[in-house]
Order: sequence, then structure tokens, then C-alpha cells
Amino acid sequence: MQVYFDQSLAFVDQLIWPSKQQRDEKSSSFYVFKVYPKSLKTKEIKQWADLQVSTLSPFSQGDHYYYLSKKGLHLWVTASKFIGIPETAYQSALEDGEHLVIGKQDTYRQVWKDGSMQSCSPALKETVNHQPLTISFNQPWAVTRNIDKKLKQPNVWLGLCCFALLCSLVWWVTGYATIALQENNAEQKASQLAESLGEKLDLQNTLRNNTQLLSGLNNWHQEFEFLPETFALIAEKLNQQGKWRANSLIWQNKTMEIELLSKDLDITSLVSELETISALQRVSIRPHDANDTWILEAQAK
Amino acid sequence: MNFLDTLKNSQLVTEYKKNKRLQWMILGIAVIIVVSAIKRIADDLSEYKEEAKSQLELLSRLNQSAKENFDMQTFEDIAKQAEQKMLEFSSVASASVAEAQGLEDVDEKIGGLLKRKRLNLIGSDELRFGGRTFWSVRIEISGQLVESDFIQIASFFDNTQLTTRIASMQYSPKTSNSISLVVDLIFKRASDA
Repeated sequence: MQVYFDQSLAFVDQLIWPSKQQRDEKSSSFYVFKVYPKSLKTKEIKQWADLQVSTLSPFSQGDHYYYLSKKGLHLWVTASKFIGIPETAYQSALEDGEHLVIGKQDTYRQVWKDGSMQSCSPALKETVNHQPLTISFNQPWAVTRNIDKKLKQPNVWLGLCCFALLCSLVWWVTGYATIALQENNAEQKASQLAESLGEKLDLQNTLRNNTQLLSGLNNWHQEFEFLPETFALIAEKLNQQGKWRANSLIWQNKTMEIELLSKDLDITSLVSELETISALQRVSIRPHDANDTWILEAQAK
Repeated sequence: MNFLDTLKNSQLVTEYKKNKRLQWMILGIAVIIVVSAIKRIADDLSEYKEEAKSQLELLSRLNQSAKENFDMQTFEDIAKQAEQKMLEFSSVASASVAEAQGLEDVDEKIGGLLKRKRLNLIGSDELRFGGRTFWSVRIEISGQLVESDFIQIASFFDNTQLTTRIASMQYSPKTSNSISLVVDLIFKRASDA
């Protein structure tokens, strides 16, 4: 995550400030890495770094370059003058461990840990017994990017805010304009249509209202189905079976429940007879506690 | 030019340039303002969009109407049917009148058949069908009913009776002849007539 963020920052930096900073590949230099003391406050880092530069540099007339990372001070000092940024500051970070790096002019023995150079000393090419690395400058590790500096300034953020506001204003205006155009267009067409339709529109409305009225009233009327009709259908079939009388009738949720008393009842034929009635569904019969009493249930469709 | 210079040298600007904390604070305020402005703009646009949408819907409805064939014969048939149906309903002025009328109707129709009758108003609902207002009044009737009168009561609620319906019933003809009936009656609003 951190890596991607850093890479995208580097990309933006390249985009805005494409000109590369000058690289010093000729001056030979000393490199010192010094970890921040624990008691050091963020505000005092700059002061402390300046103090370190003056005490650590052995050359009275020399030049220096330093980079403040999260861990500490990285300092390059040289006897003459740096022309640009020292190449070992400009090089890409290496993996942890010791490496032999061939620069444009010198060869270095470098020790790396967590993306920062711990030490860097000149080495002879001839003494190298394993494959040396060639220096690469894809992603400078110890160069303060322009974007990092800018992102620390509130005024830059203020500028971004204003830009966002400007963008949203443009969005507002264009959005408003498009919608207004569409609405206006639709309104015109609608009024034209309404005019050309004239009376037909009213008639259609009346027709729709009347249809709704009829179907609404019908639905209201039929919502619970009809007890008398359902009872009549069932009673007719029961009469065919012989004498019977109802002890109780219950009508609820379109379902008729009859507790009936009958001596000569053929329940199988009764149920199959009732099932042939298309207006009924879910017909069932079960014996009641008392002798010769049954509970018949049928639901109206 | 002169004004710009004065502005540049004014105490406010110098203070702003000098004081980093002030700059961050002003940035914070600016962020809040920008965010709320964007929110406002988005709300405003979506509101406006809704308006435009309803206009477009109206247009599409009109287009639909224009395409539809209109059959005068069907129109007249349906209008006649509706008119005739409306004649079935008695008109009342308000929901409470409907409730009173409902109780009276029920009492008049079947009250005479019941012994120890009790009428209980459960409530009324307002219904709207095709732009007209109706009230459906629910009444609970309980009492004792002789078995031979059951058919007569039932005939008040068969499907030819457009203004009434039975919601539920419990009747024990053998043990006590007690009946409990929940019925709905529907009335139209007078001003619609």
C-alpha cells in the first residue's frame, strides 16, 4: 500500500516536473548515516542536521549534500564542490545486504537495510569476486521530490480545494443546462401533444377512472368470497349423502368449517364429489370427538 | 495596482504568510466549505433531475395515449356500467354518517331475525376507486338465530348484494343457536354522486 502510494507520488512528480535534477557522477565523497537521537523533536531535526554537517565534515572548504529520511540523516561530504546530487543518493534503493555497485566512474561497496543505505565506501573493481551491480537511477532514494515539498504546504492544498470547487461549479452549470434543455424540450412536446389529443385525453381519463372504479368495487365485493354460495354448494353434496345436520358453522378466511352429524356418510365419495366443484379448493374431512360427527373444511377459490 | 500592493503588505496577509498554523486552519475551513458546496450542488441537481423526470414521464404517458386506439363504444359501455353500479350505493356525507347508516341498515335488515341481538361497530375504512371515495363500515352482529332463519340471513349477503359482504361467521345451530357475524357495508360519498 505504502509502496503503491509512493510510486504514484513519484509518477505525479515526474508528470509535473519532468526535468531531471542534475546528477554528480564525478566527485568522490564520503557517506555518513546517522540515526536520529531518541530525544530529538520533529521541530529540531533541521537544526540538529545542520550541526551534524558542520561537525562531521572533515573539509573546511568542502561541500555537502544531505537527505533526512524517517530514520536519520544521510550525509555526503566532498572536498571540492558537488555539481548536482551525488550519484549514490540518486541511485535506486537496493535489497537488504551488501552489494558491489559500479557507478559511472567509481565502484562502491554498499550495505543496505530497509531501503536506506547504511554505509558506502569506495572499492576496487579488481577485488570484486562476485558479479557487481550496475548503478541504476530509476527511483532516487535520497532525493527530496518536488511533490513532497509541495504537499507540505497548506497553500497548495488550498489551491487544490479551489480547483475542486471550480470543477464542481462547472459540473453544476453543465448539469443544470442539460436538464433544463431536456425539460424544456419535453414540456414543449407534451403541450403540443396534449393540444393535438384534445378531448381524447379527457375521454381516456374518464374511461380509466370508470374501469378502476368497477374493478375496485368488484375486488372489494369479492375479497372474502361468498358464504351463502359456498355453503349452498357444500350442502347440496351433503344432501345427496342422506340425512345430516350441522352442529356448528364457521366461516373465516374464505374457508367454511362445518361440524356435522350424520349416520350414513361415505366420506370418500363426499370428498371426491366436493373436489369436483371448481369453486372449491382444499377440501378435507376428519372425525370429531363424538360419534358420527365430522369436521368438513373447504376453501372457496 | 496600488490597492494590490496595500493588500500584499497588509497586516492580515503578512500574518497569514508568517503563521503556518493559520494557513492549515484556513485550509480546514476551506475543505469544509468545498465539501458542503459539492453536497449542495449534488442535492440540487438530483432534485432538479426528479422534476425533469416527471416531465418526461408525462410526455411518455401522452405519447402512449396518442398511440392508443380509442373505442367510443367501449367507453360508453363502461361509463354506463359504472353509472349503474353507482346507483346501488347509498350516499352519505361523512365517515361517521356512514357508520350510523351501516348500523341502521343492518338492524333493519336482520335485526328482526335475531334474539338477544347486539350490534357492535368495529370501524370504517376510506377507499378510493377511480377517483371516487367510499367508506367501508365493519359491524359485528351477535345474537341467537333460529336454524330455519339462517337461509334468510344468508340471502342478504349473497353475491348479488353489491354493497355488503361477510368477513367471518360463527354459528352453532345445535347447542345454543348463537351466531356471531362480521359484515362490511360500503357507502359512497355524497358529493361524488
